Amino acid sequence: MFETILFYSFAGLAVGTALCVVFCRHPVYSVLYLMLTMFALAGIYCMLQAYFIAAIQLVVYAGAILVLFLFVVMLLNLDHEGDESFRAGPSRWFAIPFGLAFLCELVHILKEITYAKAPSLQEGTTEAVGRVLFTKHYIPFEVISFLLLAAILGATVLSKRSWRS
Amino acid sequence: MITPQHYLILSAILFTIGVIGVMIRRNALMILLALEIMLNAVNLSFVSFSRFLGNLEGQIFVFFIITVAAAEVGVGLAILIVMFRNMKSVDTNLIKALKW
Repeated sequence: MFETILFYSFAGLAVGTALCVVFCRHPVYSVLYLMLTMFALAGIYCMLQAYFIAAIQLVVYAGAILVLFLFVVMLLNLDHEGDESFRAGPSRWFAIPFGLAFLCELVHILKEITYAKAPSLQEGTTEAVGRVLFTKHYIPFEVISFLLLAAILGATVLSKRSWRS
Repeated sequence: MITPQHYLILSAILFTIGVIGVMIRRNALMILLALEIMLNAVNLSFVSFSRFLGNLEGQIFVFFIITVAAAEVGVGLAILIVMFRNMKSVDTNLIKALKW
């Protein structure tokens, strides 16, 4: 019973704030609403016993990525765009019907899924995730560091004003 | 009782909101935000499968997805800043050099 109440409050918060992100006209408010979505999802990850993922959701997503977004919104000074930036081209006329049809299909498919009973419940603590990550998946872990290096170099090169001056 | 379907349908709803956001917004920054919602929806379905199938591989996947999302946001926002510097706007309708 308690789990049900918790699930519906987190799910309602996540869906409501996600709708606000999409339909809110002011970019700063959108970013702040997205931060609330991240918090609600972190709560849901805790309910799914994925504690490590919940922690990096808060630290990396809410703490780092969205702060970067917020900096860029303030740097670009998008206030004056107002509701003119809200309107897309013809795609906005069929966005909502298309989205609802897509959602109906997804729900129809997801309802069919059946599970065998889970063999053993594994909690996603930092120790358990780290054990799998550094034994079975250490090569992707090393490769991802190259990706981050490439992202750092790319962002630096792109945002440098000119190579001559 | 909360079944796996509840989590998966929540993930589907969030993904659809992200898709609608990409389609109705013209501001490139808002499109990046809607992409983040879609990535989070996929993360949620990975975590719920990982929980209900009883292995941790799904959570490893989520770890990698979050890393890739961080890299994507870094480079994407750098591109956005360059675009704003050149055109004084982040309107996606103005990017038409490849649309002739």
